[in-house]
Amino acid sequence: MRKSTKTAVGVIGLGILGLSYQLGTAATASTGGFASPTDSATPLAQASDLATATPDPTTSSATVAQGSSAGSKSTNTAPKPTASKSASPAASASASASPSPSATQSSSSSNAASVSKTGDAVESGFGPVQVKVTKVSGKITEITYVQAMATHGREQAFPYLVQYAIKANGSGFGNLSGATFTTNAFKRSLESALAKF
Amino acid sequence: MIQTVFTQPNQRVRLGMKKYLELKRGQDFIEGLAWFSVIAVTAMFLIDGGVKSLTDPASILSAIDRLTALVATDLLLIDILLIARIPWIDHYYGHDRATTAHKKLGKPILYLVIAHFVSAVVQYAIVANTNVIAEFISLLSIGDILLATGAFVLMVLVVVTSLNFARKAITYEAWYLVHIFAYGSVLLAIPHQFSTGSDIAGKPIAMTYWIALYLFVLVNVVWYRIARPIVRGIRHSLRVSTTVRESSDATSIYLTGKNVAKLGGAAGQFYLVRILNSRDWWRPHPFSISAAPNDKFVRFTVADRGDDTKLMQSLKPGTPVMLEGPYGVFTEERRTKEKLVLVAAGIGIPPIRALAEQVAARPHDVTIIYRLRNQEDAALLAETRALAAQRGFRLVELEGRRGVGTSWMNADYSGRSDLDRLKDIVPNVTDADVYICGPTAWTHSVEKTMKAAGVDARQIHAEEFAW
Repeated sequence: MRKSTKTAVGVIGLGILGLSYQLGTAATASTGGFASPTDSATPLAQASDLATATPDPTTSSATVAQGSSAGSKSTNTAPKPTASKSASPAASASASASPSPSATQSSSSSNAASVSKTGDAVESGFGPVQVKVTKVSGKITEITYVQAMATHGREQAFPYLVQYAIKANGSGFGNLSGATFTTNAFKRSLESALAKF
Repeated sequence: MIQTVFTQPNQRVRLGMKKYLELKRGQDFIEGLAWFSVIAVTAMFLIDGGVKSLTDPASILSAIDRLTALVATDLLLIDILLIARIPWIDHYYGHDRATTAHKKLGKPILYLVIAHFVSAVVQYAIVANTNVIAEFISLLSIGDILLATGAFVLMVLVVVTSLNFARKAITYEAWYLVHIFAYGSVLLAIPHQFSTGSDIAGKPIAMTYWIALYLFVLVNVVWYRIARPIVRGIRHSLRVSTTVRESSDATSIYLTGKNVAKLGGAAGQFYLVRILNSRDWWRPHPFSISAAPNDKFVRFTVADRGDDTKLMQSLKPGTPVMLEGPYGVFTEERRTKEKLVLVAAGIGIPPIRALAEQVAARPHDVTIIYRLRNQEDAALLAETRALAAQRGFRLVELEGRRGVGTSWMNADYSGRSDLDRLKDIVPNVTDADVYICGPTAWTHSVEKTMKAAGVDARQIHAEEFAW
């Protein structure tokens, strides 16, 4: 390559990369990305490091199907770490997609009509993921798991995924590091549900 | 049999710097495309927020894992194109430069793939809070990851067997077979890229880019490496017609078939020659044509150097042969000046002999320098003499033992340097294009003398037959 061409490619290339970097970091700001939920309870550092994250607890972790147990259709409510933890009596094990009434933390004071749709069950590699999405006047207010299975700590991703999806009002949030497979499965199920609205 | 009826030489040739600039522009365009493909995948990664909020080891590893995978895959596909013997790459670079670039790129790609593999497993282990081994085993339960691990193992094998020390320890055949695994490696890695790659799965632009790139490489490889040689093989149905002993250790092989004129090509080019018998069909041998392309036959002149070349000495007439090519840029296409100096050593003579037959030239435009040990062992010598006499070219035979040190001429005991002697032989060498064909070290030595004599690098054309 001649020197002048080399210089041109170098300058243009660096320009493109710089611009891309700007776009990439700007995107964080606009969508909120993973950034902590409104009340700043969960910083990203924790969120992405699922192993150490201990946002919440008890109520949820038990209901997330673990291990290789048969394709259980346990309905899991997804706890939003920020919301009142107590509330959800997590109607687990109520097979199938019957709308679990107890539906947790959603801004349930809705006077607008809330509509729920169930997405496809998507195999993540660690287990199936299927979500039910509730929208109130165009905004996602609640996401529950019809099926949610993962192993090796990845089940801890489920609450975060719900949280991010509600915040982004769709699947337009980034990857959850360490749970790529689960994240992708979640997004696909979510998108299939959103497509039905 | 001394060939004395020669093919009509070219009547016209384009000379000058304009042609050289076109060539450079083409090369810059291809290299620019290659660089921009790397920039494109990196840019897509950055736009996607690849490096935002790198706050803990896991997220940093995740970024490394993704970026190394993207760049490595992109470079790997470029590396395959480099070795696919694609005419447009061959035209701008020549087979030898493309092959050198292909070899150079191998190791960096492997390092990137290793970085991707290690960072992915470690990152998952951190996140899952298990040890690396346990995490790796659990990841293997995913089918796509299992395949990708197979791809990784194959790739390590391919690169390691190509390292110099290993290359010497194993036979060409073993190396060749292992190298075919490289295609397997590429294919096995595809599922995990599209099903789980955070930068491809569910991203329409990235998905389009990668599918387009894969298809582009696939089409080029399948067409130029597989389909076209077969189609042409059937169309020409070449067979060995005769073999002729040229010297104590060299033989000319004449091939005839259908539509030989349509094979095309130019003097100075080479074919990958496949002998279609049960033992040798699977590996091609590179040989330069030793007579200008014509409508009657294709001729190679091969010296017995052991293994591959030995079997060429004893081919039976009627043996079917398949040719891939022609390849190479050691041709008049690269010529920039009216005057020519053609320099050959030993069995480097075939392409030089073919060039002398084909180049457009007036008498006295061309000087042929033939470095030979003794006349009995010099292939095509009588023929080259006849050709030179017929076209009015000067033939300088440098016969005898080699000179001292790195001298590329014969010993003459006068103590004069190669440079001084060259100036005697070709006083106006700076006004000529120089074509050199011989063993690697010898070729470099000639190039050095030519540069010392003031010949511009653009006028020096070399073909190394030890590759």
